[in-house]
Amino acid sequence: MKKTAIVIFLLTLYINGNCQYQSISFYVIAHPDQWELFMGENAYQDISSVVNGPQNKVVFIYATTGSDGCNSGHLNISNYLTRQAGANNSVEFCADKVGSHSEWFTDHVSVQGHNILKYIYKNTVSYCLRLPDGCNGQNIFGQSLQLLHDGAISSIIAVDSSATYTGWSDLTNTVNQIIISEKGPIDHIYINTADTDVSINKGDNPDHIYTGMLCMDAVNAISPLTINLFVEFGVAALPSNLDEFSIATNAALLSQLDYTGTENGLPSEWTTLNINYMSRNYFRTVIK
Amino acid sequence: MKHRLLFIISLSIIGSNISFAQSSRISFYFSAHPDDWQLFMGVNAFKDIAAASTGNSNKVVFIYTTAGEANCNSLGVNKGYYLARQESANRSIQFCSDIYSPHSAWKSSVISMQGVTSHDILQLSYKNIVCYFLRLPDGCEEWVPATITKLANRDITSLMTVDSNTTYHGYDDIVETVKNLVDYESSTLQQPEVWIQASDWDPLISPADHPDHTQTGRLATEIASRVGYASLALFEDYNTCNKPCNLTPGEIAMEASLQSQVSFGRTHSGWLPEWDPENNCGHVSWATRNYFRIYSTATDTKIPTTFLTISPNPAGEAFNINYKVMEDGPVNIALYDLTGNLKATILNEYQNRGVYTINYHSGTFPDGNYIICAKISGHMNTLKFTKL
Repeated sequence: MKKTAIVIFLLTLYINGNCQYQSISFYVIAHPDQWELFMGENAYQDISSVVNGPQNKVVFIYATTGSDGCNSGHLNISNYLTRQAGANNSVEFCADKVGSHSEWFTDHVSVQGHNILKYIYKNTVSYCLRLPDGCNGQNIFGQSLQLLHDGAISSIIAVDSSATYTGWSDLTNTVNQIIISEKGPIDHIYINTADTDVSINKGDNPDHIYTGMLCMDAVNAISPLTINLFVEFGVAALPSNLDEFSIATNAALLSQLDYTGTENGLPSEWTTLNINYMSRNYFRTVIK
Repeated sequence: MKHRLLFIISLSIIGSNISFAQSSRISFYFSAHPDDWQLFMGVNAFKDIAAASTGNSNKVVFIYTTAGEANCNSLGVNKGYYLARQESANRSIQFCSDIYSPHSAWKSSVISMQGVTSHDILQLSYKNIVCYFLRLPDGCEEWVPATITKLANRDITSLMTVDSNTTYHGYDDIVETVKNLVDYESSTLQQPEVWIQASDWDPLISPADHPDHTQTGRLATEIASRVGYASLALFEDYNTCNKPCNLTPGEIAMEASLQSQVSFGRTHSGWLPEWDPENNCGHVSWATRNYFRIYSTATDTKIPTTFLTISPNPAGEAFNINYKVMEDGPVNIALYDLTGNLKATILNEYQNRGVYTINYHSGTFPDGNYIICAKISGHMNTLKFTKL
C-alpha cells in the first residue's frame, strides 16, 4: 500500500512537474510581439524540439501590454488582450508542431503577493505582468519600466490595476520567483532577452532594454545559466543572416500574431520594417 | 527534348514577379486542393489579394476542384477533414487581405452554374475575393474509383461531388461549368485583364506531381484557351524543392505566412501540421520556391490546347493516346526514344475539332522510356512514357 502511494506520488510529480523536461527556456520580453520579431527561430526550436516529444519547457514572461494607447493616451484593455491572444496563437503554432492540439489553461497566480495572468499550453507557460507601455521613451502613461528603474517613480501599477510593484527590486524579485518556481529541478536553463548593452543593441525600444535589465537582475543569483542576448530594432541595418527555412518560420510566427490582431480590428503588423526583421537574427551568448 | 525547346514557346520566370499596371484585373487561381495555391503560387496570390483588398477594380477568384479529403488510407469521406482544409484556406485569404484593409465578414452562398447540366456550387466571398468549392473527390491514389483525371480520360462517365450535391456527366460538363463560372466572375468587372494561374500539367516540367494538380492545370489551361484574352501562368509543384530557393526574403515571408495559416487551421482543428522546415523536400521548402511559365496574349504566345495523355502509363504493348483538337487542322503524332530518334510516325492527317483516342500497339519496341510528340492545332506537346 505504501509502495503504491509512493508510485502514485512520483507519477503525479512527473505529470505535473518538470521531470519530463530536460531543459527550460525563458523568454523575458516587454511586448507580446517581441519574441516573434527578434527571437522567433530560437523560440520555435525551443518549443517544438522533437525527440520522443517536447524535451524543453518554454516560459514567456511579458512585462508590459505593448504600445496600444500610446497615440491616444488611453489604453484599451481589449486591444491588449487581443495582442496577447495573437502571441498565444504564435505559441500554439509552434507547440502543435509536435503531438495533437490541446486546450489552453488560463489562471491568475499570486507571485510575491502580485496577481499575475498565466496561460499554459502543452510545454509552454506564459506570464503577463501587464505593466504600462513606455511608449518608446515618451512615458505617455506616466509610468514605465525605465522610470521605475531610474527611481523617477516609486511604484508601477498593472494597467488593469491587478497588481502594484513597489520599486524595481519588488519587480525583479517577482520575476526571479517566477523563474525559480518554473525551473524546479531542471539544470539546463536558457534565458532569452534583449541585449542591455546599447552599444550592441542600438536604437532599441526602452521597454525592451529595461525588460532585459529586469531579466538580468532577476537571474543574477541563479546559475548555471546560458543567456542569449538579442539585438532587436538594430538588426534592420545588419545583413540578412537566416536561410529560407528560418525566414519562413519567423514569418509564420508574425503571421499568426497578425491574424488575431487584424481579425479584432487592430492595425496589421505586417509592415516593411517588421518583414525586414524576419530575415535577421543576431544574439550573443553568455554562459554563467 | 529538342522538340520541346523548338516548339513550345514558354517563359520560365525565376524569382521575378508578375507586375500589374492595369486599372482592372481579375486573377483566377485553379487549385486542386485547398493548400495548393499557398504552397506553389503564394507570392503571386499574396500580391493579387493585396491588390484586390485595396480597391474595387481588382478581384481574385479561387476555384478549388477537389475537396481535398485525401481519404487514401480509408474508405469513405471525412467531412471534418475537408472542412478543416477549407477553413484553413480561408484563413490564408483573410490574413493576407486584412493586412491591407479592415477586417470584414465572410459571405456564404450556393450558386447554380450551368454546364451540360446545372450544378450547385458553394461560394464563399471575402471582400473582393471569391472562392468556389467544386468538391470533387480527391484523387490521391490510383485505386480511388472516381476522380477528375479518370473522368477526363473517359475511364468513368460521371463524377459525383463528395457532398453528393451534384454530379458532373462527363468531363465537358466540368469544363463548361467552370468556363461559365469564369465568364460570370469576369463580367463583374469592366474589361478586366484576366489572369489564370494553375499547376503546370507538363510532366517534363513539373514531374511527379499529384494527378489532381495535373488535371486541374489542364482544366485551367483549357479555360484560358477558350477565354481567349486571358494570360496563363503554369506553376511547377512538388519538384520545386529540388531547385534552388529563388525568392527574396520578403517573398519567402509572404508565401510562408500563407502556408503557416494553412498549418494553424489544420492543427487547431485537430489535424496534423503542414509545417516542416526540418524537411528538405516538404511544405516549407515548396513555400520558399516559385517556378512558373507564362502564356500571355501580351507576348502573342499561344496557350497550349492539345492535352495529350497516355493511358495506362507505364504502358504495356498496347496503350491509348488521348488528345483534343481545338481547331480543325493537321495533326502529327510520332514516337521517339529518349535520344531523339524517330521510332514511328503514329498519325499524320487533317482532323476536325474534337476529342480523339488512338489505340496504339508498340509491337517489338524494347521495354524502356519513350516520348510521344504531338503537333496539334499548331502546338507541340510531348509526353514521356514507360513501356514495360
